[in-house]
Amino acid sequence: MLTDLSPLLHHVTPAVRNDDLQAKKGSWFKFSSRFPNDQKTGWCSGKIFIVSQDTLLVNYPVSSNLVNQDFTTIDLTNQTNPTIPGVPHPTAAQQGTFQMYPVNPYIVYQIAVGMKKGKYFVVLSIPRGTIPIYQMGSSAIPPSLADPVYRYLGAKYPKDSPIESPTWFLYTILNAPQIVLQPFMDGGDTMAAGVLYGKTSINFGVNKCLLKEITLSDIAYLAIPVSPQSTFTVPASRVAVVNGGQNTQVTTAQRQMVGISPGNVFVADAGSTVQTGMGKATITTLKDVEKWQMIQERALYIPYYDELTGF
Amino acid sequence: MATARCTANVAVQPLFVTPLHMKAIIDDIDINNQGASGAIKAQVEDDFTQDISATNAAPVARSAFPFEATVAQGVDFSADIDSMAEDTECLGNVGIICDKTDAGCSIVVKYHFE
Repeated sequence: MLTDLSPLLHHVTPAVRNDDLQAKKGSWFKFSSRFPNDQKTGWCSGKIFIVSQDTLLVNYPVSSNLVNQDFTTIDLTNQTNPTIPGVPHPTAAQQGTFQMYPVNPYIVYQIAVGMKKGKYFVVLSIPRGTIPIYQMGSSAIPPSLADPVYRYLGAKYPKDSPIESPTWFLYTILNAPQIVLQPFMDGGDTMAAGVLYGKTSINFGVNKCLLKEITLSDIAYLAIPVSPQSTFTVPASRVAVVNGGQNTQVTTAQRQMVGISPGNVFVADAGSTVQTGMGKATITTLKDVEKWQMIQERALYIPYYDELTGF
Repeated sequence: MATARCTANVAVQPLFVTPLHMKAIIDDIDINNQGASGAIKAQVEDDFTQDISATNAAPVARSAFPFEATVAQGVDFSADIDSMAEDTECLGNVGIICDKTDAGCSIVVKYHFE
């Protein structure tokens, strides 16, 4: 549900621009299989998607004037009434959540967190009320804003993801756990009546991406319907037979290379005879299988929050 | 960089409003007291609202005075960002307030937002 720049570095060049980090039409997402496979998030659990149309970037600035050593809470969910602090300044009773989650499935919001210069840092918790995501594994030193020492543990500063070129990304989908950011004023900009005040200013660049699920058969350019129990000669130099084929020549290594359930995928050599099972068989060249592997490796992986802690 | 100008007054003379998601940085202040009838103390006043937070349940109006100078009669005082101890940063509605009203004392503030 979040990424930093570093996991992307093996996909980009040193000359990468910030725009390159934004998902675009044709970008791939791979959601963790740890997203619960239920009515809420089952549509994405363990699946791969392509961004099917041009994305829409919505800048969403959020600022707060805070007293030194104080913090505010930015809840990105849609769970209560909307709020935008400062327009007008809400009371605590009026403060709601920031509505940065999609309202339908098959949509992901890629949110770039860009921080303006200031004497503050930000702590991230998923879901709300838990100890921050950026923590050490030891329970002896849980980061807490109430603790004058450990509040700094895992804190994100403006220089870590500056507004001009943010490198800190959060991802929201329908019904995903609450993502909560807490900007903490650690110093200030101006003094009033002997008290130091400062402004936290964060721009959330919400990149709205419409998704379409892709599977191996989606990228195959040759699909042959085969009658039940018939045989045919493999037409390409090497092919994979998906969903319903039988072939005695398949090796374990070949199955591992294909990377899909061995029960459904077979690799055959040129000229060999393949006997199909019931129904249709989709014939996919090895080139397509390799492309599928490449997509799986290069798709932007979206972990579930519980993969980010506990180690 | 923008410029705002006023003359000395015991009431706050508004100069500019800081945009919601920005801070104002004062780059230069010039207090020309050559035409006034006496010494004048001038302050930059920054009126802003403290937002709700963990320790504050309701918005509260605050006034900060991030810069102050007393300029003798006949003196043209100037302070730029390099001569100020730190950046003079403002969060809200910024104006000038003086201890006397005197049209012979003019005050020019140069600033920018970031």
